[in-house]
Amino acid sequence: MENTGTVKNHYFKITHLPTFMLLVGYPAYWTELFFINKHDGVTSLSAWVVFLLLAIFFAKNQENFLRSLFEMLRIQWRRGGLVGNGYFILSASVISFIILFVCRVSLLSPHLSQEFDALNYHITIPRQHLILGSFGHIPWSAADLFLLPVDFALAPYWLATELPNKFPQFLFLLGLLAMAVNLVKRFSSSNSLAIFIVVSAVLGSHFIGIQMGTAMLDIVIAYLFLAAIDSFLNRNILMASAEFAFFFWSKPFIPLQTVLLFGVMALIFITARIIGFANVKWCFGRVVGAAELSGYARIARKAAIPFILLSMFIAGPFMIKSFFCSGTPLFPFAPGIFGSGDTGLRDSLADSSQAHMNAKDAYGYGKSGLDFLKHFWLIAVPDRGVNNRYDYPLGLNYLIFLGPFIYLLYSALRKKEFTVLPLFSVAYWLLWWFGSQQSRFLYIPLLLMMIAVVSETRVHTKVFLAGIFLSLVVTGISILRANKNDLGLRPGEVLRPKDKRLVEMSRDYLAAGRSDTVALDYYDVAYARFPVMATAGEIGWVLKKE
Amino acid sequence: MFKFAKRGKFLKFRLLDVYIILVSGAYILWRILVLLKIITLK
Repeated sequence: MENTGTVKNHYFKITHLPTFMLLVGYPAYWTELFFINKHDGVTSLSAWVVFLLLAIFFAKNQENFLRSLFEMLRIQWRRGGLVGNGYFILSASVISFIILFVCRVSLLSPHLSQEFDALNYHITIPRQHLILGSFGHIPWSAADLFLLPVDFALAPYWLATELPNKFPQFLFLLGLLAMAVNLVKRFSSSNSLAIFIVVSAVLGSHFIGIQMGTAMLDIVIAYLFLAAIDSFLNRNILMASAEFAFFFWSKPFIPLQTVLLFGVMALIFITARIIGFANVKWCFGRVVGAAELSGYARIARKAAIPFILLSMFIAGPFMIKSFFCSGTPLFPFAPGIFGSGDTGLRDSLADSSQAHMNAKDAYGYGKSGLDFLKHFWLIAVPDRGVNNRYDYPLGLNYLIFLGPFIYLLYSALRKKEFTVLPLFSVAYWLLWWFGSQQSRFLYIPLLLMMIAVVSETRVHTKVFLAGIFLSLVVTGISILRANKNDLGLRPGEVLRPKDKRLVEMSRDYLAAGRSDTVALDYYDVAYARFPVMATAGEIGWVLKKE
Repeated sequence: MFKFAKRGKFLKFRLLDVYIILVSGAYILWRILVLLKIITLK
């Protein structure tokens, strides 16, 4: 039987601290909503306090983590030559700059054009529910029928300040880096250069850089997936189940995509076995033995029960609401398929669903065979200004990793090796191609691709490292340029003009002790601290009752 | 600080290095051409 110390180390890994942010925040939100609600759209500090106490507890129990990191750096420094140490100093300086800069911009309130989804519904919906003191459907909002458990779990942190903050997303960025480190450490047998490269590679990726310091949730979702893999490989069933459950139910399309993806992977695995693939590997390195493999299969089976139980709490409320209002548990997919839902909203819900389906196809250059070949280049680069038809370019790092990845995968296939995570990335990418071709939906396969390549130590040449460094510098400059107008400003000073108006309106509304609903002709009302009725806006987002 | 990679089969012909130099060069050139509005895709 495990002693208490082992249990602590097993479940309380400091690198998984962001997961606890959700585990604390989710029940905290419901408590705030129904029991300690002041109806002014601001939560108490309780979630932050519990989370910080947990962080202190973790830090106390994991002091070895920092000590071993420092020791590894010290030993490597002694071994390193002029070029190696010079490379380390330069890269570490750029990495530190990026992290500190992103931390600074994370302290501002959401306002950027690339944060529109956060202003539109990530923050707005949980805040409106707090103000109304009810989880019932907000009649004008289509987004209120989405799966939003991650949004609700982070709301007690975002809304603990009078102006919503986005600092939790910064902690998830650190968590994402930690997960990449954990996985590379495992797959490269603790190769220190590989660990350092993966940090440079993640921070130097334009597709990650564009969301660093913003209120968006794609980094959070990518963290959850990598954290679930890390916990699973560490045989930590409860954490893996919780992380996978939050990932699985984070957006309406993710359950559908993930089930399809697992089905495709099962088909590939069966086919590979039939045609004689004998060896299984997580990445391109060590072969996973038969006994080890069946051990993991046992863990996966054991994790099913906590996953289902957690899903009932995490996804249940949202699916039930969507089911009764729109006739589908996963709005905007197939409204009315399981019943009429709210008959007064039927046409509007159908229009909204159609608008979301149309928006899904508004990205990319097309889906022909030639388009497929061309997209490997076109998705990396801007096509005019700084963006492209895939929303935004993936950047240089993706190109640097793509070649070695294809080569290593081809080598593994020739040797009849079933490489789980690289093949998963390929299957994910193919499904993405047939779905909505937005570059942000490729975070997971791209990160897995980088982790797999970096873990293969044969690729660590000087030119490779120079390429990663170049990418790091280019991404650092992009982040600086994207936020340069906000330097030196305070959180309230960066707001959009209409958000400043909402802040003023909120002040007057609360001072007058009002409780009526205010009609507005826009729906991105994260800064409203009063009940809103949006009367105008795109049909995808604003519903109209017949 | 770190030991660099020994060259395996893939790297014997410096394919990886050539690949990285080519894509980095092409990427930077493309970005400059977009910046100068010489490349604009519709």
